[in-house]
Amino acid sequence: MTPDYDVIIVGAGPAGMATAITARQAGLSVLVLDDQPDHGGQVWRHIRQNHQHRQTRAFLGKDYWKGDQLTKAFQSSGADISHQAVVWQITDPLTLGVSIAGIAQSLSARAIVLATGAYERPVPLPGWHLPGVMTVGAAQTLLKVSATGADEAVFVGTGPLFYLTITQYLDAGFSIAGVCDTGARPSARAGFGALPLALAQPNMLLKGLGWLRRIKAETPYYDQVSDIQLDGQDHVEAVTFAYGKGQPKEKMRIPSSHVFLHQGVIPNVNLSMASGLAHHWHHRQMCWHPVCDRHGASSVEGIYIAGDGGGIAGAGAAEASGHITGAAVAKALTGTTPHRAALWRHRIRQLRHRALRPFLDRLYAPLAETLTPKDSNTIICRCEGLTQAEVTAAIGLGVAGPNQLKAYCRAGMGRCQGRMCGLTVQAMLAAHHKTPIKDMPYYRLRPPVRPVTIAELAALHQPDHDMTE
Amino acid sequence: MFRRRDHSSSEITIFWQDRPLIAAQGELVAAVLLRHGISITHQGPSTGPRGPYCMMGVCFDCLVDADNRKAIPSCQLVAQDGMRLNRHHNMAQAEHSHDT
Repeated sequence: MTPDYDVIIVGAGPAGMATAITARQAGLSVLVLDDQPDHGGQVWRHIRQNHQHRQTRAFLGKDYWKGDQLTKAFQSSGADISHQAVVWQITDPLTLGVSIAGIAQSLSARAIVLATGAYERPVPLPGWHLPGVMTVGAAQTLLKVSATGADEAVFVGTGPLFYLTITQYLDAGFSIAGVCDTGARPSARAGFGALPLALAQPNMLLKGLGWLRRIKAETPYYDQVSDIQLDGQDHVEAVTFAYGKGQPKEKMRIPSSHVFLHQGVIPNVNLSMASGLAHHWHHRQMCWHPVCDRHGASSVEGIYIAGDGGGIAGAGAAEASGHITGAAVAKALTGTTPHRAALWRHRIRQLRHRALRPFLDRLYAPLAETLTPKDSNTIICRCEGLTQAEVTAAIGLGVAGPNQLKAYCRAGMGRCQGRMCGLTVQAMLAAHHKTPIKDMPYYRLRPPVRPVTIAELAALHQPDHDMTE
Repeated sequence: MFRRRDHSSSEITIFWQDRPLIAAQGELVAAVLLRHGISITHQGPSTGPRGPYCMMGVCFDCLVDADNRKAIPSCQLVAQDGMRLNRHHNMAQAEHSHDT
């Protein structure tokens, strides 16, 4: 039976598009499956449509428009692309279950590349489930897709995406009610150890400093923010928090019906975990990474990882990683490595981007109260509406790990399949059992990794190869 | 309240709980709802009211019923002229419903 494609890539962000371009250059047939309405990934979301709004949407900034080049190269690469294609499983041998426009089908390949990117770390603060509370990435997506923003919003968090989005909000002309920076200055001391490496990317360091200087000058800015609470009944109404160096800290309350949260991003590993790939706990990034070699080859023969889905390093590194993985796939399938000189440039670029990361990881470490919530009313599992007290009570009954917890309280069994509670549940269990977090497993994920209807599965089209050959 | 900074030349109409809303061609349903002050898209007896949170299809809190499809993430759904949308209820009838 001949596979449908040489290479099927899941995800059309920087890594997925770069993988496709390099694999096509090697003469391989390529299909890219992406669950969003258009390619570009989260970082270059809506870039193709925004091309015509370049003047009016200049506030998205230079780094956004850089995506134009790769997107165009991808579009002319000859790779097939399916948008709004939801991959819900991978089975042996290298076969994907995917729903495209509500129709389930099965597609096979000689190699599969997972370029599933990242999503924002869950931020379980008191009231984070209230309508009106969104992520900073969500606020940025609204800017990118339809130049939409909210005046008098409060931004709570830390990290590159946090400062970038606030700057874009300022450039777009939205007023800001408050910026609550949770980056604790004492942790910067830990970050300085990694500073020499980070100097490999001086422009990026200067860019970050520039954002921060501007935010301090142009918004009501509070530093060393902690003890955050989002108040409201059916909608968020205010943010209360403590801030500053003083002991005790100053208290503040900012009324607002829009609050944007951010505590960094984590690899989107649901598909790689459900497909049986080995993962390891990354201590510094405090999340799971799929185990892979420097070319992106995973622990499962024929499945590769490219981009931030393999560990957070940003769009520049993701693009380089896509080219490197594309070349590795080409080598495996054709026996030759395409464009050796270009490949070295991508390797150097990847190293430069990765050099900055240990510094950023330490400087923008997530706030402790979002890792193991102490407030009993905080929602842990959004899908099932489970509070910290309910999860704590279930753990107290003698639950050993996350999978057993499902049976006790249904944590992680809703539609998001643990994406919004998995790391919190793991941290709470590790704390209860006084186990290092790396030794506490994550939920055992099973296909389908995205909701798919019974009707879709029942109508699964299985092409009869005997008939067509 | 959310507002759109630039104006679209081609406008379409979608319906939220039978109320007509003006949307721009290509706009995401979640964005249209937020611009019209509708922040509760989804409701369940164990969760209470919920609205768009991640805008990238991972949190499943912005679920709506769209035409005859149930529980669709509205942040992944591009508005189409005449589209009829309703708040998604986790169970057939949640105990109380919120009207906007």
